[in-house]
Amino acid sequence: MKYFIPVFLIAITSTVFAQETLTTDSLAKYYDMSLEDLQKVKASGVSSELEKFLNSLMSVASQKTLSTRESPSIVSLITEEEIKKSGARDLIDVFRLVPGFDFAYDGNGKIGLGVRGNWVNEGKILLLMDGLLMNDIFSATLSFGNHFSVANISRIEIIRGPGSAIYGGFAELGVINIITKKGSELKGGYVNTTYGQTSNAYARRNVEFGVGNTLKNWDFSLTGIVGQGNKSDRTAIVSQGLSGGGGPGSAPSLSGSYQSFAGNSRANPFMLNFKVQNKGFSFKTVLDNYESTIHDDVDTTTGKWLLSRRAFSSTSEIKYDVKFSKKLTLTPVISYIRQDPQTKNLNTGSTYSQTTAERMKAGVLFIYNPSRKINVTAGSEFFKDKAINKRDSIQTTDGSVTSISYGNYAFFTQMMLKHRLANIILGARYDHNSKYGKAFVPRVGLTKKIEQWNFKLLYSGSFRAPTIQNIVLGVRQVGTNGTANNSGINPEKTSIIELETGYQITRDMVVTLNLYQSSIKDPIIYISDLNLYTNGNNAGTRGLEAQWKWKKSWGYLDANYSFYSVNGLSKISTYATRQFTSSDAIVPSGSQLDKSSLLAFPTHKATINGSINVHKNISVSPTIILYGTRYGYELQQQSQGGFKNNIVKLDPTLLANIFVYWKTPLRGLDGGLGVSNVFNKAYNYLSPYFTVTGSYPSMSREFLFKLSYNLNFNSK
Amino acid sequence: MRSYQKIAGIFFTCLCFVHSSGKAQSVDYKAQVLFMYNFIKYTNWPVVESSFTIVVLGDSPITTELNKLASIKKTPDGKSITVLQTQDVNAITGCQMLYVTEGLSKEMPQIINFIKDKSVLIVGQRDGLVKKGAGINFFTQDDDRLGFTISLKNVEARKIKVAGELLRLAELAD
Repeated sequence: MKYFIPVFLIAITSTVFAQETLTTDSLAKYYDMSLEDLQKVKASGVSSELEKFLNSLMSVASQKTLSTRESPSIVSLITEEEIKKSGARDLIDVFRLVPGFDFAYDGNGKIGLGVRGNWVNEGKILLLMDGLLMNDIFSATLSFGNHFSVANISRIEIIRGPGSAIYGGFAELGVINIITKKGSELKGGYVNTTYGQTSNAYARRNVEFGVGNTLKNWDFSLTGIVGQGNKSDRTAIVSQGLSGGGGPGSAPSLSGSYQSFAGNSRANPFMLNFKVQNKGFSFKTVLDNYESTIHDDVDTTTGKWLLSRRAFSSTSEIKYDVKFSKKLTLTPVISYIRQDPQTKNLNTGSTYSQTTAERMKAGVLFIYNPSRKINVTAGSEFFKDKAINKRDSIQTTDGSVTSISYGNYAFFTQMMLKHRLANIILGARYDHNSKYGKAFVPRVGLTKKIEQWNFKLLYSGSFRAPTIQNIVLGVRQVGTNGTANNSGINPEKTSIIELETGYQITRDMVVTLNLYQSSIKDPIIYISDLNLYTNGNNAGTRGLEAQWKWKKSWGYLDANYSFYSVNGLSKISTYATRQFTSSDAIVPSGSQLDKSSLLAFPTHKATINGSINVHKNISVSPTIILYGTRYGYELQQQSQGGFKNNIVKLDPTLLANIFVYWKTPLRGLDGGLGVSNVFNKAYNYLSPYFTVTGSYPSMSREFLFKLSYNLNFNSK
Repeated sequence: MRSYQKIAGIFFTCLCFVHSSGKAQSVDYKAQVLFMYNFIKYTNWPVVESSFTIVVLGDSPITTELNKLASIKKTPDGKSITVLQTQDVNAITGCQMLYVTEGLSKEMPQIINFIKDKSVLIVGQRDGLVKKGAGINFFTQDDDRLGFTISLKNVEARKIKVAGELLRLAELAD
């Protein structure tokens, strides 16, 4: 921890600036600027590289486009340039650099997301691709690791806080909107190949591709990824279940074995993204058939994992912007999601369906801008979720059913007033769920930019109804002996207050600092050893995030620091840093190793990343991620035989990547070489809740090669 | 909790340390002068003077930038540009264009009362000043582009005519 702050200080105080001056001749030409060019003149003069970034308009926080400094949320913006130059292999590499974001192990080979110390992967963060829902609707989870294409990303807009007042349910603690390239950006096609190799096995071999163009008023694009990969190549102990009690006050005994993940931890992406637009009309569809190994049953003959899971998901949306006037737009939207995950026996190759889930959604969005200073957004939406199992009935904690379905209608509104003193945002959302009744969540925000300074004060509520999986495995109460007392589960409600201040030090440098506190009532939690969901007591975290950004013509540097604490706040037992024993599956008896920390996520995290143009066609991009102390369960071999799942304190870890990007002299051909996990750290993704499966090893040092060819249809 | 406070303290100390280390994004008066020169080019005043006078009401760096303009440019009909600066509303005389700085925008009632119906194009630095009687005011758009609002009612009441080319770029207040 002690080296975090000096590094951050050095970064933040490195100041270089230059002033532009104009000669009399150039000034005279400046005053002769055409009226057409006059419209592009910036109020603060010629924008620096950083100012272009800061003035980028984003709409994820409010539906209305606003600059990053005025958006009524704590936001992050990630550009195509940053992704490309960093040599990011997948979204894990991208999101690890976001303040407060980190990854943890969700069991069964799934790597999921945490935000500000909270485990959010189950329905507390919304992932959109061009506005289309990417969360698994069955359990609202996400699965990362060589899954999503990064070559087709135009930019990523992120709310690092609540977004439920507009987006509803899954946007409880964060929203990520990945915006892929349009036809007008592609105007041709690209093929991007990525190969990653470790000392033990290949890490990935992917092909990403895209084609798109404009034709009269039509804009169309098709992008995608297909490939094979592994999530890890290391050898680790894997649990094969309980083998007996550990005795009073000690961890349960487990049967397990050492197993190599090299070539045995599939992460095979297959995704297609098609979108077409003509004036106000748009149609988008995403097909996803990501395959990942299920780390559950081991084939006794091969010693390898027996099953894999294919996502087999399709999401489509049609919408049309009806412009009644320059001030009034009405947008009806219809979308349909179908998720039919398949389980594959890796030994025999046979597949079978799991429970199929679908969501039908219709809504209308109304945007009214009576003046430049007032924006009114209102809308309503209705969706119906349904799950069926074609082979069998669905076994729930309440008995056997043939299907599960529920409906939800919602109304939301938001008013934004750009007053001279501050921008004021007032909003609210009303949901009515056919199973869980009504909920109301408010949103209030003040933002203000005063020359170099910007301020934000935000309060928002969130409401999330249980998902299909929560209903299937949900119990209202779990007894201390692990018995389910009542079927059914309650929705969870969250309130978050945030404060941000930012200061633009020079035309090329900006710092921001934000404080937050979240409070979750009746959080829906997973009890892994019972395979049940229930409501916990209150939860939440508080903390801060600081970010420093320096952007010049030679490249950029970005440093950020994130801190959270749960000291003095209500905690959920299964997320706390304490030892569980065989006799206390639900109520742990051990004392907490750290009262400020939760499992898996370090209270302190700092990242430094940058890109330096060492030549007009070559850039070098280092990335450093410093993790503070982490706590989690690790399987450990016992001297008397067998394994135990003990909570361990893991020392601070430094992960580093480096990538050299080269734009070759051959038109359209570029690529790069890189090394990920340069110091070959044995970093493990820890489980954010008590589990008998231990942690998941990450990839060891990986040598990366990328080659991309871009064909421009319009070039001669 | 103590480390939380410690880190916040260090961050703010850094912020103060780097405070004076360079200029950051703020008002670019050169851009406003560019727009004002175009206001001159695309506007007709009924009274023809021997020189075109701009008065800056209030203390502002724009005076320096306007003087730079005056030293290298003339009006489209060949008249030289003169720039004066004052803090006193009662000293606004004999000008065709009056630039009201943000700091003195609250003096608008007195300004209007003093100018009466003279053909003076009042340009306000502050957004919303057309509602107080100015002919034009500047504003900053969401993406930092410089914009301007024109009140045709206020402008034409002073017998000043604005060309359609300029109106097409403007936000019209009425």
